Amino acid sequence: MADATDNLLEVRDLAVEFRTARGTVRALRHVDLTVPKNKVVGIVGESGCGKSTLINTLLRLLAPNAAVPNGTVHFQGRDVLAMNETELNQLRGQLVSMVFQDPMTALNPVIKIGKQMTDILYRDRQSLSAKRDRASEMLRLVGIPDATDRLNNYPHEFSGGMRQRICIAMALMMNPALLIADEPTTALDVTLEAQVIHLIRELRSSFQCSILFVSHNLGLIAELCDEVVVMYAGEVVEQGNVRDLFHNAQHPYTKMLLECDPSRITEVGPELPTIPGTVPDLIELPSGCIFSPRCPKSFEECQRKSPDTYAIHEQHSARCFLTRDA
Amino acid sequence: MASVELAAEIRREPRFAWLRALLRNPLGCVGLTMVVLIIFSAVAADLIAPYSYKALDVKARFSEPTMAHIFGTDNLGRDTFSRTLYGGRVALSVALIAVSMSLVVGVTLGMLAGYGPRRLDNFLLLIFDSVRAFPTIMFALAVITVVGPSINTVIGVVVITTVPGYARIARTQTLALKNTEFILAERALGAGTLRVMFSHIVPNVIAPLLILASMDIPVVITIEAGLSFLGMGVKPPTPSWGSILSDGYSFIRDTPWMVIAGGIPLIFTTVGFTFLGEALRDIFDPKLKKEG
Amino acid sequence: MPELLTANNVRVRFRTEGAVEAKFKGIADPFIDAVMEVSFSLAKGETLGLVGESGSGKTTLGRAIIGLVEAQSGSIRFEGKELIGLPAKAYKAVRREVAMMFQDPVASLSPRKTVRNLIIEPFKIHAIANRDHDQEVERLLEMVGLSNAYKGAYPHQLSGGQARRVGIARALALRPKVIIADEPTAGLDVSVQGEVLNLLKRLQAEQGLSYLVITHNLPVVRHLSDRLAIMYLGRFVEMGNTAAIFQRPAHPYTLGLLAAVPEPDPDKRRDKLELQGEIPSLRNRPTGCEFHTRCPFAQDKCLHEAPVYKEVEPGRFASCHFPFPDAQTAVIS
Repeated sequence: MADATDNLLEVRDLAVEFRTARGTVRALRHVDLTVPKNKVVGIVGESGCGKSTLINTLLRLLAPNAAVPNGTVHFQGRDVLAMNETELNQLRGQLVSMVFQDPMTALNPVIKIGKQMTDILYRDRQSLSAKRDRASEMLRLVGIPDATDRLNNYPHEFSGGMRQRICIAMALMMNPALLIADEPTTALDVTLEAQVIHLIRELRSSFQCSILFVSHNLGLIAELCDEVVVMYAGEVVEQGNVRDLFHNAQHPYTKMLLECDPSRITEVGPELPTIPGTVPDLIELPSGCIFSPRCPKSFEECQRKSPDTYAIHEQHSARCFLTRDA
Repeated sequence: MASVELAAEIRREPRFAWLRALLRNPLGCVGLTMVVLIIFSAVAADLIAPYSYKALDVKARFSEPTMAHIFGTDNLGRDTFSRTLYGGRVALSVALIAVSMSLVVGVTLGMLAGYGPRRLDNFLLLIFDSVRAFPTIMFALAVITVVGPSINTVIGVVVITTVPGYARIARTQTLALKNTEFILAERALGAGTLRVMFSHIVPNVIAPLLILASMDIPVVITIEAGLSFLGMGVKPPTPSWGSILSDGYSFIRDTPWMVIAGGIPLIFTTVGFTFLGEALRDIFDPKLKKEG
Repeated sequence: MPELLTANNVRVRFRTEGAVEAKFKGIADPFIDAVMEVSFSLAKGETLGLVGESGSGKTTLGRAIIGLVEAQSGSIRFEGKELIGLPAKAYKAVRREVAMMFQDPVASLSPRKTVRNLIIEPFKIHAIANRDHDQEVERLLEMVGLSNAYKGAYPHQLSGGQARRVGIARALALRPKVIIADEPTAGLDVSVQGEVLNLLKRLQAEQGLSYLVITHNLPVVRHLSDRLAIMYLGRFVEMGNTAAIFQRPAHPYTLGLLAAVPEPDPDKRRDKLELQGEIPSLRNRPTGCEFHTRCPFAQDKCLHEAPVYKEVEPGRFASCHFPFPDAQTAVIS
């Protein structure tokens, strides 16, 4: 792991639960996550893996029935879980900003873009025209033509791809230390997706921020990220450098996930590989390793005990007994 | 080589989950109890009422509440308690019949407007808005003056004036559902208009309308009482809470008990149905969704 | 091979403004052409993929075939019978043979009906008597790999994959010949996608079904379809054998699409962006070749003259003045 002072975000042994009528949903368990400065960290996982819960915990946006029984979240060395409202207001939108999946619902449909953008700058004591200049400059940066004029348009007057660019512009306007992108291209066509990813890559170097990139698309993760965290059913099952993960995956889930990706398959066979079975119930967790019911390599110990995280080398670790024994 | 999914236990939503939710809601409990009480007393009026609603006992007129007459007697010596019970029958039957008819007609017309061709929609909207422009009571008085007072007239008037309210909501809901994927899927299967409307649209629009209906019942009861108060409702000697109030109002110097006897059941019923309706609305809206 | 479904110069137009509004706004032609002169054929047991992005018209074309939207001109024939202009009653009979699966697996199921009722519905709609409904439900659920225990479930209780299977069961209920699948893997996790695709392939082999797969997901369509048609602004810009197209695309848009799919390998990052710009609005179609506004290879001719959709080599059609020859002129670095 990198030197502690280089880490923007440190999550250690985080556990998050939700109280529901049916029981306690243990949405996150033993989650460790590190986002170094100026790095792009990708979170890969399928539905139910807990990535949304993790993001919400980072910004303290959890539902009222949530509880954090264990773990710490440190942002720039400060304890996020202990922050008061004032500190959180500084965190959200200024130190950490977010780009969401659906640009249509992320923007207020009845307020012009210019006003939405200058509203973000409410903390600054600049004149309105100075703020508008900054806004149009940001729009230019993200590739919106006629930026100054378009400040007077409403969201519905832009196409989907442009709206997402606007959301990115809004997220970067405050020069955040951390940008969280939650499936930012899922709602876009593939050519627009490529453009947005390209844009994020370019902006990253000029804005010097870290990015936490959440996606289920392995291709995008490979395209953009320096480090990758693989989540399954509320746990981090593997994490490491992007090359290690794609070329030397250790955890059976990661391996199977890579195999299942249809874009990896060049020879069209009669059947596509799948991961049989379903994600376990997070209320009644199976004993032992969370993946063992579906793991083709699981052995007796896997069903009895839950593995710890074992290192493969300094920057690559997996939560699997096979790693321990290797 | 079928990959059979392990069938996780399907969490079957208990059919009467809403009833359970209702009983957990304090307002709902109270409302439900009150409504049940009212309905029971109206239905079992023959059994409970100590006297017939027409039985005269002129010597005992204007008496205060006694053991013999729990609510006292009216100007003709009739037992007010019995009359109140039978009055409940009138109120409830008018309300329930009128509201059910309105619901059926309103939903059908609203769905037709939403699902059918544009011209039909425009035409129906025109009718709805025109009818709604009429103040209910004025309209009622006008009709009754022409046709003559009777329970059926009251029901008819109420139906006509409340249909547009239901129809509008049904129309909006239908418009929203018209282009959803599941409706398209049904059409792609070959479902005809009638099947789409009654088998697929109705179940998905009915919930807010039922709540509206339950909130409308006290309104209709009040309308009926109001009309009877003005002498435009049911014909004497059939008792209505409104006519009890009306008589009581005239003879208030002789005994206040008639007004109280006519007023209390009205208040009680209105409050009961309103509590029930609001509790139901809290339960059904937002809809019970899948957890997690 | 007998052609099951053929389309010829199909055109689907939508009205955007009423006559009065159009006059008021000064719009001469208040229509958009969602599908412009599309022709293709589908044989028995074959899978044809319709690939395109938003605005390509692929979904509209699918809906025109099943009769949910009306085609203005051209012809769509199923087993020789003309579908355009067919009255509703006759169309109903066609719907027994041509079924459609919709994009959102859960939203395409009527929310207040159980799985059992949803699967029985096709039988009821077509008034098919003498069937033991419960037996049919069991048979169909088994065919798609769902336990019979699901028959009492409501759509909102199902996962995406399960709902997708119910959709397949419904489509198969009346033993159709053609299934139009709109984004069959949308909303499904990668590990589950394979199950659905494998199921579809198996059913095709067992029952001789023909599929028309509408999608924007290139890796998925590569796995499913024998032939592909790429759509842009309502037209076919390329059509041919799937493997051949993936190896040697002829049209620049196809090349751009293929280049835009990220590879799950950090050593294969793309530095150059292939396709810039956005899809033009259907209201303002570009002149000449409609792709020229985004084409990296556009030349003068492309601005003024519309290309003809023709066979550029045996089995391959493309609509381009300068289609790529054999070697893939790689611009991707």
